[in-house]
This record gives sequence, C-alpha cells and structure tokens, in this order.
Amino acid sequence: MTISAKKTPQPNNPDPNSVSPNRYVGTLVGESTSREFRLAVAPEAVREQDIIAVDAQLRQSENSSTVETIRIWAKVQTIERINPLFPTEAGHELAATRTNPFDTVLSLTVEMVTAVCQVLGAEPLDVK
Amino acid sequence: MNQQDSQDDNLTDQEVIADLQNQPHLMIKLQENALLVAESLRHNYFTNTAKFITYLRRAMRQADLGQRKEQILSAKAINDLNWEKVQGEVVTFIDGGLGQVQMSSPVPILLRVGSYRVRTGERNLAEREQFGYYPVILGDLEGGSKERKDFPDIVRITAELLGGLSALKRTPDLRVLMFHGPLVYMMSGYAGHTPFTEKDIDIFLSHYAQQPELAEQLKEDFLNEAELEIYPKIAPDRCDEWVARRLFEPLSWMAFLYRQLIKEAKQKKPKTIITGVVERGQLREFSEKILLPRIFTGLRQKQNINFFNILYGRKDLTSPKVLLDRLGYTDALLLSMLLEPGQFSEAWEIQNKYDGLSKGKITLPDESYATDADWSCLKLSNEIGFPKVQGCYVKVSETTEPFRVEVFEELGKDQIVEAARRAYLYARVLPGYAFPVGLDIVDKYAKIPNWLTESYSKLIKYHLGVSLQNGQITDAQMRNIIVQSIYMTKRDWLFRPKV
Repeated sequence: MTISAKKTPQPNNPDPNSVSPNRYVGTLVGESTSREFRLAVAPEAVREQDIIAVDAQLRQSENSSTVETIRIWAKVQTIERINPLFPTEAGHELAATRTNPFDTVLSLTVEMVTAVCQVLGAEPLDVK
Repeated sequence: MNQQDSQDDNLTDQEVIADLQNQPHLMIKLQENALLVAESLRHNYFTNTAKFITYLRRAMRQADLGQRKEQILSAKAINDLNWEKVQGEVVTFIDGGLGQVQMSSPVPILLRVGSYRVRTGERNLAEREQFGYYPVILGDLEGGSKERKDFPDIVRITAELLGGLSALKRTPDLRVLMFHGPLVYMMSGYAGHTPFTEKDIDIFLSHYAQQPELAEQLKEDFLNEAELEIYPKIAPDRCDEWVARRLFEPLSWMAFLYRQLIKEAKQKKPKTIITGVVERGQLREFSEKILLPRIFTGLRQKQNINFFNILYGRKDLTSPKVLLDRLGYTDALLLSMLLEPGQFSEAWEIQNKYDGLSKGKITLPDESYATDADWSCLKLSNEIGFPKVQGCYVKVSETTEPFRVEVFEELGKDQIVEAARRAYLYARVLPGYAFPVGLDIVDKYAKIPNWLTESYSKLIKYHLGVSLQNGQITDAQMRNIIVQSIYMTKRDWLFRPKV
C-alpha cells in the first residue's frame, strides 16, 4: 500500500520549473475509496487544483505473489484545516467579546491540514 | 445567586429556592446528596438546605452593610482583570497524562507530562507558543512500589514538578506557572514507596534541562541535603547506606523539588505566580475549619446552638464535622451557593495535605524486607519539609461549580489574589466549561492517545505470545496468567454473551 504522496508537474504545465518533480507533500490518512482519499499535507505543500501522484502496489487476483506497481493521479479538491487544541466554545466567546485571540492564552500554532483529493485515474509503472 | 438577591436585605427562602433551581449543576448535586443522607434528612433536604443558605446569605449581606460584627465568609470580586492588562505575560501550563494498556486488567504503562508556554499579545507565532513533553515509561523505573495502585501517581507528580522546574529555569520572564490539579497532593498517602535509584532519576532528568550539568547539579544538591538533613531524620539507622547507594526517597525528593520551585520563583522579579487549579475537588476543609466554626460561634453567642438540629429535625448536628458528615456538603457545593460569578472566597491555609506523615515501613530496592522510617520531619514548618499551601475558591459562572486555586504561602500574600484573577480570566474564554483554557489545551496535548497505548499493548502481547510458544515460560501458573492476559482482553461487560 501507499504510504506517501508526491506532487508531480502537470503534463501540460508550460513552466516545468514552477513545480519540482517528485516532491513529498503528505501522507494518506483515514478512509480511502476508489474515488477519493485524504492527505495530511506538509506545511504549504499543496494548493487547491494541484495534481497529486500516489504510488501504490497492487496484488494480482490470480497470482498473489505478483505485485504490480501503479501510480494514481488525483486532484486536490478542497483543503481542510483544524486546530485540535482550540475549543469551538472559545472561538464563540472571542467573537462575542470582540477579543483578538493573539491577546489571550489560546493556542494558535497547532493545526492539522488535510487535502481531500479526487482520484482521476491510474497508470502502471512496471511497463518498460 | 443573582445581583438582586444579594442586594435584598429581606431575602426569603422562596427566592433562594428559585435561585438554586436555576442552577442545574446544584440541583443535580443536591438531589444526589438527598439520596445518600439519612432517611430523616431526605425529604426536606433541598428545602432545608435552601433555608440554611438563606441564613448564610443574609448574614453575609448584613456584615457587608455593617449590621453584623463578624463576616462569616469574605467574598471579593476578581473580574476586574482583562486581557489588555496581561499583555506580554509569559504563562506556562503543566499537566500529566497516563496511558493504560488493557491486558487482563488495565495496566498503567506510559506517562507523559506536557507543558504549554505562551506569551500573550505576541504576534509572531514562532515566538508566541512552545509545547514540550516529558515521557516516562513506568517499566523503565527500578524504584517505587509498583504493586501499589498509587505508583503511577508518584511518578506523575515527580515528572510534573520537574516539568515546572524546567519551565522556571528555561524562562527568565515567566510570570505564571499553572498546574492542572492540586499544587501539593495529600502527601501522607504516598509514604512508604521504595526509593528511586539514581538510574531512575536520570530517566526523570533526561528531559529536564538542555545542559546535563544542571540535571547533575540538581541531583547532587538533593543528595547533599539528604545526607546532612533529611535521611538522618527519616531513617537514622540506615541513613548512611541510603546515601552510599545514592537512593532518592520519593517524598523527600518531591519536598526538595517543591522547595526548588519556590526558590526559583523567588529569584524572579516580579515573583512567578505558581498555582494549581483543581476542578472537581471533594475537599471540605474550608467548610469544616473556617466557615462552619464561625457559624457555630455566632449561634453560641446568640444562645441558639440548636439552630441546625431544629432546622433539620435532628439531635446530633452539634459540630461542623458532624454537620458535614450527616448532610454531605463539600466546599465546592456550599461555596457554589454562596459565591457570585466573578467572586473568590477568602484564602485559607490548607492543613490536611501533610496530615498522617508519621512513622511507617519502607523497602529498599533489591531487598525483600521492610525497615522503619519516619516521615514526620517532612511536615510543615520544617526547613526540609513540604511548603505551606493556601487555597481559595473561584466561581466563574452560574452553571458551574467553583474551582479551587492553590498557591505557596511563602511566595507572598498577593499570590493567591493574582492566581485567582488569572485563573478566572483564562476560564472566561470557556464560559460553558468554566476552567482555565490553557489547562484544557495542555490536558489535550499531554493525553496519551489510544493508538499509542494500543501499539504498546500489541508489542507486549506479541513478545509474551512468542515466549509462550517457544516454551520459555514453564511455570504452570505463570502460563495461565499470560494466556489470560493475551486472550481475555475482551472480558468486559460489553462483551458478555448475548441472549
């Protein structure tokens, strides 16, 4: 199974220097489906509409000892952010009292950013 | 209690009943108590409690107006502090988390103490906050009596103290150091644990300071003090052996760390506010030693000593202790009904922390027998003992119980007020939960996640399983225990056979 994802230049990208190839952008988390998966992303690593490549290994159904390496292509649809140490109740209280969170003892640095990626297709990597 | 009530000299029972009924947490607690008290007290428990509170509120109001000579409870406002006034303050919150593995029964295995340091008003995120943690795997320790249920507690308290001391050392301008839980625990309960070895202390200190010399210095300072002052008093017959073996008796070590905290805080200008905040305390010392004795004295002066017996229809309610025993009142419950949001109760010196520190038995590492020890030298007012602690209660909102704030008396009279004001300010950000938000943050940070303890659990079960299969475990009884540990983890009420 895959353990990491890479951002690869789009095939029709006119400027190949704008994106460095095979750059690590994050790790798969949670439940994945054949249509969609989630990626815990490295800081500032991806933006919406970026194309992501994820390398994976597939076992052949008729011969389990044979493993096929494939590359899955996906598009970043949305990016979600959550601060697990910031209580929602505190957010409402700050809004109600018009208080700047920077002035308080609340934590603002711990954030978990997740990219929701839509699977576009896959290609075999073993073809020579 | 609302403002209208407090301003009304002719407060009636019905008004107090209506006020209490508007506070669901009070109603639940009073109903719970009503089920636990004696049959004769049960039926009118709520009404009689309301009458008692009416009497107390009236007395407080009369004292405020100068119509009564002595105040029975001094409550002052602490809601004058706002975030603008505390800009630039550096605050560190400390909390410990325990990870348990479910074998045949829950086994504590991993402990970590988290720290969260924040500078209010700092816009640069990189400089604003810093998180740290101090992990301890309980199985790595040689000392401590692991068969006792409170073994993880002495490890957690020690690690929390070192976390706090480390924060004081590393942060020159630390203004507030806030612990989750009592600043000092009921220490006598922890007497008699096997001393820690030097290797254990090295494990504790491995995350303590960036410079190893500081950790070494702390160890040597303790051992020097132990050799000259502490061990000769605790174990006069074996003190030289304890020193030669470089043993760290847990209570002596904790008392030393408490004194180090105070020493470090005193060196800062202004002195660091060191405080512990307790959210679900069952203490009743303030009621028993301060509040109710004043009421009983007042009743005696008025020749009305049977007031409580008449009110509750009893004959035995003649002392604060009996009253609390029979009626199930605690500090938090009584003060919840007497304080207004934004008020704190007067401070008192908490006495019961060191009750029971006396003679007992102790077993040294690698020994099978217990020898005599005497911990009474660690009691209050002793230079090598535990420090005095003051406490007060803070009420944040109508819908929550007051929490208790504790400080070291030695750091000055203003500590309790400043600690209470800040705890209230930090708690106002969470009006529903009404607890300092920084402690909520560090609590979540220090919590050991299930995936981590489950991984340890799987690793332990794997090694036990391999040893079992290889025949390395031969003793029949031991084999049975291990089989039970590995395979009976799902023996829970939830997994009982279905009909």
